[in-house]
Amino acid sequence: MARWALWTFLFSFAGALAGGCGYVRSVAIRDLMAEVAETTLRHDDVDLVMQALPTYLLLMDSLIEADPGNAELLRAAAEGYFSYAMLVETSNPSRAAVLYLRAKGYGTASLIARRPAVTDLLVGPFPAFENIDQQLHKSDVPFVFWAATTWGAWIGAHPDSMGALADLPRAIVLMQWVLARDESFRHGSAHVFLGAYHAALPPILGGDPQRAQTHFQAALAMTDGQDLMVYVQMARFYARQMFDRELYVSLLERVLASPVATTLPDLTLQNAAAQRLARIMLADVDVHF
Amino acid sequence: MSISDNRRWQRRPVLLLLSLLLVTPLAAQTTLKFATLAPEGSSWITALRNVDTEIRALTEGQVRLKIYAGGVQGDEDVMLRKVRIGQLQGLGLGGTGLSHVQPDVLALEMPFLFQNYDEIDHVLTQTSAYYQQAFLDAGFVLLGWSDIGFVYLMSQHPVRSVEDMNGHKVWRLQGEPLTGVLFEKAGVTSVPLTIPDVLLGLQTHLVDVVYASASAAIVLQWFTRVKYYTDLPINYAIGAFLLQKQAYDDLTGDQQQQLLEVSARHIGAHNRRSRTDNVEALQIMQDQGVIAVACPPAAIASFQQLVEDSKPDLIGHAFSNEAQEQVQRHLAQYRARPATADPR
Repeated sequence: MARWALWTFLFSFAGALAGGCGYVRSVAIRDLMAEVAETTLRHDDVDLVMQALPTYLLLMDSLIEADPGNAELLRAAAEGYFSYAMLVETSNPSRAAVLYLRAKGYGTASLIARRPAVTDLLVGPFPAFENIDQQLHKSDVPFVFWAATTWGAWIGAHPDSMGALADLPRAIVLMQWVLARDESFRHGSAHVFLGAYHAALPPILGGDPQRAQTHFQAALAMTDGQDLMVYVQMARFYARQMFDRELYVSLLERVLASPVATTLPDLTLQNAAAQRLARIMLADVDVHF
Repeated sequence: MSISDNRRWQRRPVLLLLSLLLVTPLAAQTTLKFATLAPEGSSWITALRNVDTEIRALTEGQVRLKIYAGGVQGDEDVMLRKVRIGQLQGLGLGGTGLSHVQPDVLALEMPFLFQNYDEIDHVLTQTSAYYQQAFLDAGFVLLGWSDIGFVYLMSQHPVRSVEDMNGHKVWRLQGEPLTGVLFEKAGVTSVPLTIPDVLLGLQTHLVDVVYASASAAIVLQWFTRVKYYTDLPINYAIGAFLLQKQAYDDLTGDQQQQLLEVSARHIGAHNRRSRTDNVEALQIMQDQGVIAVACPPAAIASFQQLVEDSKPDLIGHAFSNEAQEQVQRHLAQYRARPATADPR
């Protein structure tokens, strides 16, 4: 009931703002949006969040339209679209691919808004791109992380696109930068990203399961195993690449047996989504092994 | 107690009949396990999934494919061993594994053989009976050739001629029979490395000249470590989808026909996709700063002469004289046709 009220309020609030009141728009609503984002992450009802998120995302879009150079707003939109796409992906991968494209657009724009000097590097020759760290500061971690995450997710959703695959080394460079600057950012998410990357290809094509394993273990250590999505990604990439059915099943069963709400409340929604994914993946075990 | 026993006894023929009904279709159901190095999401896997969906529908679930993508069953030689012991039935081979099954494939991969896809398509069609038999002799049914694409030299300094490779560290694929002979004839020092070692090799300057199709250069990320590519297709690389002959023979005649027809169609779509991917990949390489190096005609001639000089060491050794004769004859016929093909 309270949540309903929040959304109604949010909606009417946005309507009022559309009438024009720049100051309120720039400060108050941003605080509200940040609160909503936080509440969302702590939610355990995936269905409810999935139904509610589009409204929130539309609101983001309109805020960005009025303030297109706002790095923080762009970063939040990248995160919002990415999170929604991840929830949609289990039931509708092609829809998720479209959403990831939007997330990637915001992720990149956010990094550019934060550090305009990277603009040309993002599309130029790779050796020049590798020096991108000269343009970045440690305080840029959240912006680099979301640029890399949304870029990587978009590539993952387009495995048959040469253009997407050609971008992969760049997303990796960015995520390695995040890892080197702040390994613990978002409970070690950079480790999970790089773990999936090293496990996704067979060794003969450049994959490195051992390195993947090290990254996943580091991520697990960081949250005491409370981030259930780490197990899911380990099963999805590492256990499948190693062709280890027993490991695949045990990781997913562990996800289903673990509590969604933990001492890290901002993982609640992600953990609920991880359980949903784990159920689908367990049902598919005979497809993969 | 006795009543229920009695009932159970009475029910038994029904159960027996039921179990027979259940067992019969199960016994006739065939799962063909296919493995390949091609990763999930690639057009190789799309082709196999489409074959699976369609063959299931056509045979009402009696024939199905189980697909192992991304090398989860091991490298190509391991996959071949698994076929021999019956753990796998189908393969999508794109590397040296294919020439280990049937070395005559190498006759199609000789440098400077084909000038364009029209020539390739003509020769592949005309030699299909020959190659189908050659694979049957090796214990496999050829479900379809799989396009990998034209291979280019990629390097950290411009390579315009054979001479430009001298004094540089040229990569060659470990265990691949053609390149070793070619580089030896050219007097070029070649460094044998496996595919996963090449990227690091380029980074550490262990090698500075490599070769790959444009798509492979993107997927393997080699394009990030080279500055130039020589704008002269060296050779055409080809893979294949194979089914173990025994598994094929175990299908009914109808199922065999259905599988061949469905495979040909979806593998054809995959091949068309592979060709457009390669065009796109070459463009991406250029967009990302890899510079195309033109070869003067005299240099092309010197490359071709090198191949001519190597032929006695390859034909009749790395692959059969008959394969060479088949390929050359059909290529010559195509080139002699009055209607000329568009140049590449």
